[in-house]
Amino acid sequence: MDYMEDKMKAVNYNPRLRLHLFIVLVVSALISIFFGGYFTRFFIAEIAILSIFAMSLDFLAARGGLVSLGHAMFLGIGAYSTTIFILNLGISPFIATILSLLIGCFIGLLISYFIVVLNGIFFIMVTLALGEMFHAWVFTSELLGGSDGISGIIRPDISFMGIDMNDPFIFAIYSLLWMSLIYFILSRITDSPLGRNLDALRQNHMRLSAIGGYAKVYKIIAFTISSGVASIAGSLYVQLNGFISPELTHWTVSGEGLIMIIVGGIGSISGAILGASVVYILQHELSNFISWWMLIVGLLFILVVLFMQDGLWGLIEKLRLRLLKGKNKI
Amino acid sequence: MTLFLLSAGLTIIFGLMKIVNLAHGSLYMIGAYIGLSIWTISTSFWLALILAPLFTALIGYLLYQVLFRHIQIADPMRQVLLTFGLIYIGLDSVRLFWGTMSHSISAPNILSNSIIVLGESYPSYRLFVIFIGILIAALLYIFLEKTKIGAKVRASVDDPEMAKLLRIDTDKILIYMFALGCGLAGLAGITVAPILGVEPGMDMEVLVLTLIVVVVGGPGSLKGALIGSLLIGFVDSYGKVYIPEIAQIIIYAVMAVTLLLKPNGLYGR
Repeated sequence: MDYMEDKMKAVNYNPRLRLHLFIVLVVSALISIFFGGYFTRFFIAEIAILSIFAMSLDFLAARGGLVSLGHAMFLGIGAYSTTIFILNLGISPFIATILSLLIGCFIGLLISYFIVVLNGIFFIMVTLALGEMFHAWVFTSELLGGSDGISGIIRPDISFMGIDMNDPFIFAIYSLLWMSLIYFILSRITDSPLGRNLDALRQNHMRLSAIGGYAKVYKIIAFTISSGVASIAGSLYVQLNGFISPELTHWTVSGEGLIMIIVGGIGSISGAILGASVVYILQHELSNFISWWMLIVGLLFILVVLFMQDGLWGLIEKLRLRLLKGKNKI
Repeated sequence: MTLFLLSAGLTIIFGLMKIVNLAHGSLYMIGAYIGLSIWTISTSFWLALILAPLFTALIGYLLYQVLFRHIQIADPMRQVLLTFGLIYIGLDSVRLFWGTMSHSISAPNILSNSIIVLGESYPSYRLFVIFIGILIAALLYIFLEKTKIGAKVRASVDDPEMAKLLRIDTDKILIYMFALGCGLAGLAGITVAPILGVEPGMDMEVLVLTLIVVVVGGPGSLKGALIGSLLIGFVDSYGKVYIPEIAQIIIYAVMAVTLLLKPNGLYGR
């Protein structure tokens, strides 16, 4: 098939806007943590974790040019390995997160070695099938709690510092810290020579190969990083909720993640955070009011896919340009 | 055999448009629900069997006109996500119109008893479903391979640009074949309704299975859909009987092995 057909579009490369948007988002999150009640803090923590997941998909889609409908599998790998580390092996939750990151990366590396040769729609279908395979496995596995899931997962204990992690305020901050860390790491990679190579790969992999880049290796690197990041999201998610259910690994979770990055603008990292927040808040607010909120969300998904090429990022970029122009005239 | 009806529809759409329609399962569900309404109003199963696929095809036609025609040049991710949005809409509209209860349709009297086949008693409705599957397979084969329209369809699959140059109206063919594919999903929905019942959520159960069949059989190949659905169907049923713990995983394993050996599926081009 012609490589042009598979080309993913990403937003313009604009590190300054990316940083500004990130700062605005984090500040507004901090404000709502300080002034919000119990549930707001819980929501912020959940949004931060979803943002990590969205960023992992964003990185994979924009830098690797790969779209995965099975990424919820890595969410699940992170979540389940954390659960096992904490409950069965008695490892402390913080180290469990790090270990599940390594496991996620390793499995990502293993899988991507076989599947990155596929492109476009085949890659999507294979990741979907792999993700569903994992879902089917955890759903029936006795060891992993089956359809009931597992409960009783604890959060990191840092009481020696006088801080109680079970306070939603603290955990929201903890999640935001992770989110920021991952944001900065992914931004660094994007700005590095490796990131530039990955962008070149997405735009025209034949030309990249022609000038001496190893397309397959780059794709594997992108997939590995992305699966590791998704595992962290999974690991934090179980610590937030204290329990895990196999629903977390269903492919629709990946689909929603992809919608988040489309809403935010593909490839803009901080746009992924914005998209995750918007989609999450929208779903929660609508489901409070209307019982057929899914209908509206579905319609919005379609409208975004059809009409918003660069998502909210595109809107912000345009607004900003207009504002700057106005300033110059004066 | 229902699996075949579903995957035949999906594979036709994929072959022509290179789009994977995740809403195919939703169309299957809607077909079953429309059949349910017709059956409740007219009390005739046969009427439902004929009309439900027609209505589903009509929905497919409208969907194509409103949505799918605009995303043909978009990247695969947008196409897939658009159909993903359709799943949400399909599920909620079914809930709005028909409620969340699960319903059942009873098969017509002639088909409600069992027949003895090769010494084993077998419910005759299931035989009827198999018959419909074979009938549709035969009809599709004759239509695509032996008629002039079928030749035009195949030409549009193989090389759309060349087909256009030869004054084949590829757009028209796309619309009708898309509607046909959707109609097949609706037919699958109504034929399976007396066995499995009609409920919200039935779309998700079949969707992934159908996708696997299409991938295993080779996207765009009707023969692949037939062989693939038989293979996956048998593996699934026997797996559930003999090794229930890992039955689900075996299907995916079959797919993984197929893709590793033949990346384009069994009968891929």
